[in-house]
Parts: sequence; C-alpha cells; structure tokens
Amino acid sequence: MAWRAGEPVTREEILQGIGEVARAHLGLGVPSGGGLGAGRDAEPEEGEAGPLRPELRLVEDLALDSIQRLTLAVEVENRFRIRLDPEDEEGIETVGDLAEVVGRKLEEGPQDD
Amino acid sequence: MIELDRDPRTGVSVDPGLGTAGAPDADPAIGRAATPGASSRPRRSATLIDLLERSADRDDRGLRLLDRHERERFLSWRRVAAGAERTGAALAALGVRPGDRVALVFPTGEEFFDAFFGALAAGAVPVPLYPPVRLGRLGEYHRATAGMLRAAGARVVLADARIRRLLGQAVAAARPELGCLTLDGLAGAAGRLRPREPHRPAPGDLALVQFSSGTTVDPKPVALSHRAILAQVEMLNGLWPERERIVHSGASWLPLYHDMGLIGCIFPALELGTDMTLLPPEVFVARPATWLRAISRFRATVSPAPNFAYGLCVAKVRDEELDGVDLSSWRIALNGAEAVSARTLRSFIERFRPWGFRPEAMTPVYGLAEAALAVTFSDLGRPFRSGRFERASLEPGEAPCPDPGGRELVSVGRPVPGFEVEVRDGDAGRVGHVGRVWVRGPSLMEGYLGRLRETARVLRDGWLDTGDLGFLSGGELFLTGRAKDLVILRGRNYGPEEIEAAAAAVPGARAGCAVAASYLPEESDGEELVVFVEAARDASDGLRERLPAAVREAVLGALGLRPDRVEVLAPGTLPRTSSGKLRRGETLRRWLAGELAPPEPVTPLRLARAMAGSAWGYLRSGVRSEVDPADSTGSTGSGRPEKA
Repeated sequence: MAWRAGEPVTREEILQGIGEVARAHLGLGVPSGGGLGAGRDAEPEEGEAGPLRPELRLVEDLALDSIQRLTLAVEVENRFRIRLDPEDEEGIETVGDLAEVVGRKLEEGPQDD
Repeated sequence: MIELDRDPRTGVSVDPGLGTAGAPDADPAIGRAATPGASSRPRRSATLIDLLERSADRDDRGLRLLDRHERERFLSWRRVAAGAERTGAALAALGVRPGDRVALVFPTGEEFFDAFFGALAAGAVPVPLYPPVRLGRLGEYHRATAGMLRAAGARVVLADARIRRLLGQAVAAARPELGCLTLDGLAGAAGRLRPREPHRPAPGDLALVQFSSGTTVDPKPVALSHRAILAQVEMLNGLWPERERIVHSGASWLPLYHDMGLIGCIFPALELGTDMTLLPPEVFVARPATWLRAISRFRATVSPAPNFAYGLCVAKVRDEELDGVDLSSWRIALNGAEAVSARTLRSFIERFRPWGFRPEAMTPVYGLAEAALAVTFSDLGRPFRSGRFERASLEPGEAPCPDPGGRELVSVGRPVPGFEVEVRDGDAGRVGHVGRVWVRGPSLMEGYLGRLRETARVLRDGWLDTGDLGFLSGGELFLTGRAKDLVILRGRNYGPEEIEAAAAAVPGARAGCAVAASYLPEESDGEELVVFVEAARDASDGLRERLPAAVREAVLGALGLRPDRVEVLAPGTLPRTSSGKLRRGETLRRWLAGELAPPEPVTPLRLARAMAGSAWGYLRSGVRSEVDPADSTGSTGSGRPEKA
C-alpha cells in the first residue's frame, strides 16, 4: 500500500501501517486484539496483522533495542514516504506517539527526498 | 578547561613544529620495508592534506553516496577538496587555530567530508562523534556527547542541521568556546572569505581524535598523528591483491565516526585516487541487502564489516532482494572490530555462495582504534582458518591444546607489514601460551588526548597493551577474550559503567553492585551481554523476582542494548579487589567456570569446618547450578546462587 503525502489518512490506518512494518521488519507478532508478545523470541502470528495498540511503549512493552528502533524508524519512513528528523523523534515513547508524528508529517506534505 | 597534554612523547602538542623536530622516523613509509611489492609504490604523501591535494584534480573518481532509495550521488575528489578549502577558510575566519579540536556530528553525506577535511585544512583536528540513535532516549546521548566534547577539548562543534537542534544540552554542558554551528551557519558567521592556502601540518601533528567507545564515565580520546594514519593507509593499500590487474574499488556502510569506516575505507580510496561507494549505516541496518546490492552494482573488490553485519545478512536478506546480484567481484570481505565467529562465517559463505560470494574472500582481521586500525590480517585469498582447543587450556598462562571437542576459535591472521605482535604471559612472553596481546607498529596512537596516566598504562616502550587476551600459533593470532573492561556488541564498544549504573539503579538491586560484560559464547553468532546484579539485602521476594525483567528494561531504555542474560546474585557474591572495586573480568571468568558463589557467612560452623579442612567442599556446595549457555532467556533467576 503506497501512501501519498497530503492525502487524508486516519489514525487507525497509520496504526495499521506501523503494525505491518513491525510485523514485516521486526519479527514482532501483532495479534489483532489482546496483548502483544514482544522481543525477539516472539513468534509472528498467523493471519492478518492488526494495528499495534497505541499505548504500547517501544522500550518497556515492545522491548525494542537500538537496532530494532532504528529499523522501525527507517521502515516507517519508507512506508509513509516521510522523513523524521531527530527533533520529531524526541519524546516518542509509545506507538501512539509515533503515529501522531507520522500523521503530522503526512499533513505537512511531501518530504520524500 | 582541558589541560592539554604537552608531553612530546604523546605528541598532542599543537605546535606544528614539535612533532618532527629531530624525529628520525619522520618518514611515514616506516614499517613498509618488509612488505613485498609495497616498496614499488612511491611514497608521495606525508599528511592527509597531501593526500587530499594529490587527488584534487580528479573529476572522474571519488565518493559514490547512496541514499535510502539507493540512488547514487557522485562526489568527485575534486569537489571534496574544494569543500575542504571553503570550510577550512571559514573555520580559520571564525578563529579556529591550528591544533584546535573541531567536533563533527554528521550522518554519512557530503557535509561530513566538507567538515572533516575543512577542519584539517584549517590546521585543526577533527573529532567525529556519533549522531543520536533513532527513536532512542536522548538522556544518555546528551551525557555521552558532552563527555566526549569535554574530553576532546572541542573548541567548536559542527553539526548537521537536523542534529544541531538536538545538541543543545550536550553543548550547554560542555560549552565549546565557539559554539555549535551548521555549515551554513559557519559560512554566515565567517563572512566574506579570502582565498587561503591550507595549513601545512607536520607529519607528527595530530590529524584525528577518535573515541574507541562512547562512554560518559571515562571517554578515551585516541589521538592519532598524520604520520600514524598515513602509515596505516599506505600499509592497507599495499595489501590489496593484484593491484596491477584489478581496479581497487571499495564499498562500505560503516559509520564515518568509526575507525574502520574512516581510516579503513575513505583514506585508502583517497590515497589511491579510486572510487568508494558509501551507504548510510541506517540504510544497511534496516535493509542489509542494500550492502550486497551496492557491492554487486559497483563491482566492489573490498568491503569490511564487523561480524554482526554478516550475521544480520544471513538472518534478514531474502532471495527476492538479491535479484541480479553477483558478489564475485568481492575479493576481500574483511571481518573485524569485534569477535569473529566461525559459525557466522560458515553460514554467510553458505548463504551467499549461490550469488557468487567467494569463500576465500572472507578475511578475519584484528585491530583497534589505538593502533589507528588494523594490526593483523588473515592471508588473503585463502579460506579462513580456525581451530578447536581444550577449554581449560585457553585460560591465561596456559598452553592451548588442540581438542576436537573443544572451543572453536578463528584465526585473525598475521601481523600486517610493519607490525609486531607479542603475547605476554605476566611480564615474560612465553611462546604459545595465552596472555595479553601487545603490539608495536608505525600507526600506534600518540596517546589518549590529555591523559598521561591512562596513556602510560597502555603505551610502554613503543608497545601498546591491547587489553585483549590470546595466543600465537604458527605465526597467527587467536583471541580468547579480554582482560580490559570493555563491552563490545555489534562492532561498537561500550564502557561497562553505564550499563552497570542503569542496572544497579533498579528497585531491589544493591546500590553500586552490578557488573556488565560481554563474551563470545560457543557456537554463537556474536558476543552476548551478561549483566550481574546483587539483590539488595532487604529486597522483598516480589522485587527479587522482578529484578531480571527490570534490569533488562533499564538497560534497554538507557542504552538500547538488550542483555542476553541477567544474573541475580546474593549480596557479596561479586568479586572485588582489596580496595573494594568490582572485578569484572574475574566475575565473568568465575561465572563461565560455574564458580560464581556468594560469600560464606562467618559462623561457628564454618570455622569448625574450615579447621576440619573441608572448607573447599563446603564452598563448592554453595555454587550455583551449572551455567547453561543454551538458556538464552537466562533471566528466570534459576541460575541464582543458593544462599550459603
């Protein structure tokens, strides 16, 4: 699914996209409901990837290390065709925080270099 | 602020004349005399400025910068030189003087080179620092950056515009005299520039300060002279095979603040006036296939990476990402900067052989920032060598015994031309025994900038104590572990102190009683991080139970590292020196040997047993159950030693 900057995107769609990125590139199992098996030991679950729950914290709940966080940042940029500056990323603690920043960048228009 | 070390032996004086005064070895070709073939290469440069000028007329060769979409942007050596001249003039106009340290915080890109060579053209000493981690917590980054700015005595910081906005805290803490500027900001502040000849450094002047590990507690700025760097670069370029027939071409995703990325890739390409393909590190980490595609697309002959990168390719690259990829041009796949795992080498070779990867290309090497880079290289064009040795015979002071069921170690090869390696067991060197690895050669650092005591601890009579443990067999070096306190993960060095501080601050942990160490488990793809914490005496059972998870979370949050194992110990278990300092190496050694035991309480019973001569047996009974390296979860507390 290609995203075009400037097109209206719902928060749910952004969360869905982040969930797909996490599933494809971090090996995180993302069950559609309920809890989330985190860390590298988590087996990806079969079936549709659901959205990542916004209250999940990147460190405490998803247990992402620095390489996984970098991968998440880069792949979210690729997915939504945006570019996150270090300043944008400051203070991002949860999946919801990340979704909010992605939404803001999408509204700002094309930034794909 | 920073008291500059003016000891001529450590060479960090900013006096341009001092480094060469009467120095009999001013010839940077020293140490190459023994290199077959290398003597045919005329020595043409004594400093990095000479190198830059020599390639300054090359429009056809230079750096190929790939972006995250793998689009190519060509930066000729002529443009690199022009950028250096411009930035150098601006720095001089700003008031930067020869010998000043200029800190650089840039991602891989054109601006890095403007700033790096610009600082050199102004006669200053560039100090490349790492940019912030993605989606990371910045507290630790600010502290580490401030610590490095202070340790380097940076007079000014040049930064990428996106990064500069984040550097406020670190800059406020370290207060570099001329502040923190972007290159645009620098151009504005410098005003109208007059054309200016680049500063001509002497070969003995400092050319570069690099940090071997980013640590807030004790950052060690490794100070390298032009002479040392040129010796390393010319040595490396003398090693590439069949130079007459094969056009050397490098490819790298390594960060430019890393010695292997800068000294190992950029300078050799500049010296030869050849092409170098660069990929930003984050593009590689997110999509490792981009590295292999770059090698194939630009027919790279040499490309280095730490062991973990080869493992990452095996784990993440999918066949469909390698459409049309042909790795047969890759003659030398250097593997260094961290422990080399035979398992990783085999799995990489097997995985990518169908795409033309030459098994004999895999080249384990060894080096360290304090030696500018490489110290040993495996013989080129030959399959890597490994051996299995009886585990107990790999302890310091022992003579390694071959054992088909023993621990497998990969040879990191022989000393590169100009270098000598000596393994010292205690004060004397006993041939064939495990001991500390000392090295001598033409590219050793001048010292740790401004740190006479730390310098004197590792540099003695022209020899460098690497802090690594190993042995020589058939002229080849095998590394067995480390005597120095350093955690090495994914090619990056960490001081254990930060990890320990994060772990010991967790509720239920005993204050100040944590030890962090990394080691290469057998049959693994890389070093693993183990954190030992003592539980507080008054910790409730609940807190104690939660300790492994809490420690893991704390370390992950503070440093982005996930401990592979957390060992919770009874108070007093960690071995200490007589002055009460934690003994990290001993902690790891005892743990691996299954001997990490809590102290015995002094009771009448114990005294009676000791007197009866059975203290040893009693001690052993308190030892935790055997370490199971296969238990990668390791955090269950099951390995906790029993209370004696």
